[in-house]
Parts: sequence; structure tokens; C-alpha cells
Amino acid sequence: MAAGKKYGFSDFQWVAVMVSAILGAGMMTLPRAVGEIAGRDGWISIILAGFVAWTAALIIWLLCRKFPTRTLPEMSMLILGRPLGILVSALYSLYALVVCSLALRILLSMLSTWVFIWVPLPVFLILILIAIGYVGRMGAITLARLMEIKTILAVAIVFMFMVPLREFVSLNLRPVGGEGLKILQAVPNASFSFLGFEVMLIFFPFLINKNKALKLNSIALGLVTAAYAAGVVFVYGVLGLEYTLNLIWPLMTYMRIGTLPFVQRVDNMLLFAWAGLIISVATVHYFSATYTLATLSKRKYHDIWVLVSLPLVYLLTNVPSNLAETFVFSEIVGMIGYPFLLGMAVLLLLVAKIRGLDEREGKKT
Amino acid sequence: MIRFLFTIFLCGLLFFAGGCWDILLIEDLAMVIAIGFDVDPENPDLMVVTMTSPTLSEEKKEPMATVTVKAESIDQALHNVQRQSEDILVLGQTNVLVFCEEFARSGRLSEVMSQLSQLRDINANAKVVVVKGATAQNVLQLSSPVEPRAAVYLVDLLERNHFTGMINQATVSEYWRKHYTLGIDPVVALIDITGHEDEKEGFRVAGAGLFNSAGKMTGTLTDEEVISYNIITGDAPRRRFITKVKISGHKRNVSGLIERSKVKIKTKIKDKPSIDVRMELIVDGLDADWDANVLDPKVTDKLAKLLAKDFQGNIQELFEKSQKVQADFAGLGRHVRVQHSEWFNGKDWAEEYKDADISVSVKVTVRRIGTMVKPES
Repeated sequence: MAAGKKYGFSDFQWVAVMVSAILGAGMMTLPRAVGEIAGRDGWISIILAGFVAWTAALIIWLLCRKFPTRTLPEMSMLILGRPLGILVSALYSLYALVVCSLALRILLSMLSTWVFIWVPLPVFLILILIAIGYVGRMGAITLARLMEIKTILAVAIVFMFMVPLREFVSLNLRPVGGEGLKILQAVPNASFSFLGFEVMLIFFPFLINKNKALKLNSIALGLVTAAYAAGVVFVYGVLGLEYTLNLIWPLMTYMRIGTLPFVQRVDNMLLFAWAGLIISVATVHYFSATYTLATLSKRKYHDIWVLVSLPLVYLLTNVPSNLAETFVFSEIVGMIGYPFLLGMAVLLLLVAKIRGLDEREGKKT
Repeated sequence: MIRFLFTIFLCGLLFFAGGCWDILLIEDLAMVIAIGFDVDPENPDLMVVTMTSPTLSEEKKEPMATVTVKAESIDQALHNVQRQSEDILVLGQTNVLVFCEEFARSGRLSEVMSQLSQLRDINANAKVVVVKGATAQNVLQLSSPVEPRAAVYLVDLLERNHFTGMINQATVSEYWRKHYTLGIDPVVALIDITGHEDEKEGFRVAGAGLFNSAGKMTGTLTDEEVISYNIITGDAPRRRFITKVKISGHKRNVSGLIERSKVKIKTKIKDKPSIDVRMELIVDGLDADWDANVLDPKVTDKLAKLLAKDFQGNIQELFEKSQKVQADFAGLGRHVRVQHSEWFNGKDWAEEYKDADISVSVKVTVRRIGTMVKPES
């Protein structure tokens, strides 16, 4: 008799969910964002930002490891007490919904800029929200399976990235390290693009091989760092720094160069493929937010939370009135997101330590 | 009942699907495949813009529809052409942009390229070409016996000649990149019209146009010089050369293929930049009109040395020419920036390039000479 499969995330699904939660809209503008500060050494800033993100993920992992069967709302209520736990969880939900809205807003801006100029944004937004709501109601395992498939399909995107490389000029990236301290100054900006690893706070109990979590997180963050750094290296190498800094969507302009025998506009192909990645970011964060809210209501009514949160995301997506505001909004979320998440994780860890709470040792839980 | 309503709701949503919202049928599109830009002789503030698109209909007599308008900007030109077009203008299939020489020399080409970079649907891989001694409008209205659609003929001409190393690659995106990047300037392909004075019906590639950092075409390269340009920059898949070298007191025809080239650039800064360009060329399939035994290693070596001297002289002259017109076509400034970034940051490279000391040394390795032991026996 075959052994029954365990219910939860496989190793690959975990990596897929982590990658899907991080890799999205940031890549479209990252070459410009880091280049403005770190010049042609922007890619080094990204690698350093990857280490920063890994350290932050390590802190969250330390917390999750103490409470392997509890999600953020459950552990925060246990550690901080019910009122503070609810507050922390509600703030996290709000943060996740904002991240979801922001990802969607950037996607809509991109689509309306490059292809669907005349299609009203609400049309796209409503269609995408219906899809996100539908996936959200299917549960965490379905979400993980979907992200797994999407991650495999994303390999095609890697090949698309290679198309313009014929025009790559290594001189555009040299001298390496010439920007000096500016490389470090760009790290905070680059780090914002790595936000998303915090979904571990919600999904950790679903992971089957919890003892492998650190290794899997490292793989996921390594993949994202490699993708971001490669994206910046490719864009600078092909377009040159000076031209890149003059572009709102450098990656799209990069993709406009070069054709394939069977596809003349590779940029449009990438746009549609990348739309899938951004929707994944939004979906994972949306699920995290609604699952947190459902857990606060004793793990009931997740279906209802999924439905009632959709109008909120719709409204949040429409908060920035233009593209400039969207980028400002994005920076603010990044600036608040990191301190909030790290502060919360460190606070929970410290209080748990002081109170001697550790689920693994069966202490007071 | 709920299922029924849900189905109706979903069907209703189909009307909102992105692709159907702004549906564009191919029959309703005027796909501009070439755009020409000329100076307006009556008003220097205006440009004459010619757009040509296939008619895509069996009912139409002409295979191409060509519309010429006057405008101050590319956007205005598009508006004006649209007013004369029964179809919707789209630029995604634009394969070539033709500029008259006066337009390029005045710097307006650069302005237009900047305007084009803001049009999201423009084909970034479209070719950029400058026509000598004629207007772009003339070029797009020519009807060659080989291919009556001038724009199609021109694109094929440019593509094939780039492939065989007769011209450089010059695309819209390459122009944008070189124009913005410090230490390198754009180079575009040059054509002229052929045929009798009263019956001009074709065109040929005639070299390249050199642009300075301000976006003005300040000089040109002859078709022979373009071959040297391609050798330096590696800008063509296949590079073939034809030259004459003095062997035993006689000028002899020598031709061959550059199989591989390796360029090393070293720079020094004293009171001005000093740039040392070292090239190693692997030459194959060499044909020489010379009554000598090509299987003799001494003959091969002698030919290699003579060719190296010839290339060296041609390339040195090319650099000197580009210095006079302040057009750093080979991107030597990028090497100076990389090797002396602190010095480079405060300088106007165009001015520095003009006075830079550039020395060229070429080493040639001949891999194979023709198919005959004594070619001219």
C-alpha cells in the first residue's frame, strides 16, 4: 500500500510561493531606481540587498521556528495577548492588502502604458480581482500548486530575457565598484523590492519539511536576487546607464530590442508573461491578508473575508492618482514595510523569550 | 437561479475583456512601414514627413499608399497623416526611417529620434538611414524594377548589406543608446539614389553618417571606410574587404574575409588622452593577384604584414577623420571612462576626443589563401 501524501507545501511549492510573493513589479523599474544612486554598480547594491533580505528572513524564520504550527495572528495573540495580537495582525493584514494593491496598480500602469491604452483601468482591475478572489477561496494548497505551475512557466521568461543580449556591451558596467559608498546608499532602495518574504509568517505551518525552511528560504531569496541582479546587469549592458536613467520602464525598453524569427515584439510577450508574475505577487499577499483576518475570526469565514476585502483592494489600488504618486506610494510602503515587519518579528521574539514561550519545547503554549 | 445569474454575470464580463474593448481589425489599419523626414524649404521650423504603408487590398491599384505632410513634430505629423488616411495609423511595423542629409546635418534627426522614443508602438529595431543628395520623399516614392515597393526594397537592401559587412547596423534603438551613452556617438547608414538623371529608380548603400554628441551629422564615411568601421567595431556578422597592396613594386588586388577580430584599447592621460588601439585580425579565404606560391609560409607572412600595414593606415585615417568631426564612432571615450573615470567625469569628451592622440597597430594572421597554388600564373 502506497504511503499517503502529506497535506501541505512541498519543498518546491514553498520556494515557488516565496519567489511568487517577492518577484514582480519591482524588476520593471529596479534598474533605474538603483542606478539613480549607485550608478553602474547598481547590481552590486542588489546583491547586498539580497543579503539584507536574507537576514530579515532569518529573523522571521527564528520566530516561525518557535511556533511551527501557528500563523502570525495565532502566535502574536499568544505572545502579546489578545488585544495587542489582534492589533499586530490587523496591521499586517492592512500592509499585505496595500502591497497587493500596489502590485496591481503598477501592473495596470504598465499595461495601459504599453498595450491597452484605451481600455479603462477599472475593467482590468475588476477582472484581475475576480481571479485573485477565486484563487484565494480555493485555499493555501491550491495557491501553492498554482504558484508551482507559474514558477515553472516563468522559465520561459528567462529565455525571453536573452533575446536582446546580442547588444550587450560589458563596458557599460565598468569600472566595477567605481561608485564606492554610493553602492551602500542604494541598498535600502533595492531592499524594498525584496519585500514579500514575510509571507512565511502565514504559510510556515503549511510547510511539510519545516527543518528545511532555512535552506528553502535561502534558495528562494537566492533565485530572486539572481533574477534582479541579472535584470539590472542585462539592462545596463544593453541600454547603457545614461539611457536607462532616462526611462520610466527600463526593462520594457530593453525587451524592445531584438526579435525572434517567430515573434517580432518580444516586449509584448514579456509584458503578458510578467503580468502573470505580478498577479501572483498580488494573489499571495491577498491570501496572506485574508487568511490572517480569517484566523482572527477563529479560522472561520475565510471565504467571506476574501470577498469583502476585494472592494478594499479596489479602493487602495485607486489611491495614487497618477504614476508619479504610485512610485512615491511604493517607496513609502517599502520604507514602512521593512521596519514594521522586522520590528514586529523582533518584538515577538523578545517577548516570547522573556515569557519563555516556545511551542517546540511545549512551554506554556 | 444563483448559477444562472452567475453565468449571465460571467458572460457579461466577456464584453469587458481587454482585447475586445479596443479591437482593431487588420483591414482597418494603415501599417506604416517607412517614414521619411525632409527639411521644408519654405519654413525652416517645419519638416516634411512622408509615410508609406501597404494598401492591403486587392481593389487598390497601388501596392503602397504614400502620404506627405508638413509638421513641427512627429506627433503633429501623425495627426496630419491620419487626417488623410481612411485607416488607423500604427507604427509597430515601421521598418525604416529615412532622413535627408540636410535634416541630419541640422541636428533635427536627433530631435525626431527623441520624439520617436516617446511613442510606445514604434519599432525599436527599425533601420535609420540618411539619403545623400536627394530627399527622403524621393526615396520613398521610387519604383525600382526589382521591387516596386521602395520601402520594402530599402529594408532588404539594408539588411542584406549589413549581413555581408557592407554597411553598419543602424537601428532606432542603437541610435538612442549611443546618443545617450557617454563616450560613444551614433553612426547611421548612408544611401544615395542611382539611375540616370531623368530616371532615378534605385538606390545603393553609400557609406555611413557620423554624428557628434550634440546629435548633428558632422561627417560621412565612404563605403570602403565603412568596412574599416565594421572591422573596428565588429558591427557586422560577415566582414569582407577589398584592397590594393603594393607587392614587388606593383599594386595588386587583395580581398578576403575577416574571420575574427580582437581589439584591445589602452588609454593614458597626460595633458591629453592618449589612446592605443591594438588589433589582431584573423583573415581567411584571401584572394590575391600575385604570381607567388601561396603554400610557401614566407608568402603568407609577407601578405599578412602587407595587409596589416594597409589596415593600420586605413584605420588610422578613419580615426583622424572622426576626430576632425568630433564623432567618436568607435566608443573610445567609453574606454577612457572605464580606465580613467575620475578624469573623464569632469570633461567634455567631444572636445577631448578632437585632440586625443590615437595610435593604431594591427597584426594580421592569414589562415588560408584562395584555392590556387599560384593565383596569377
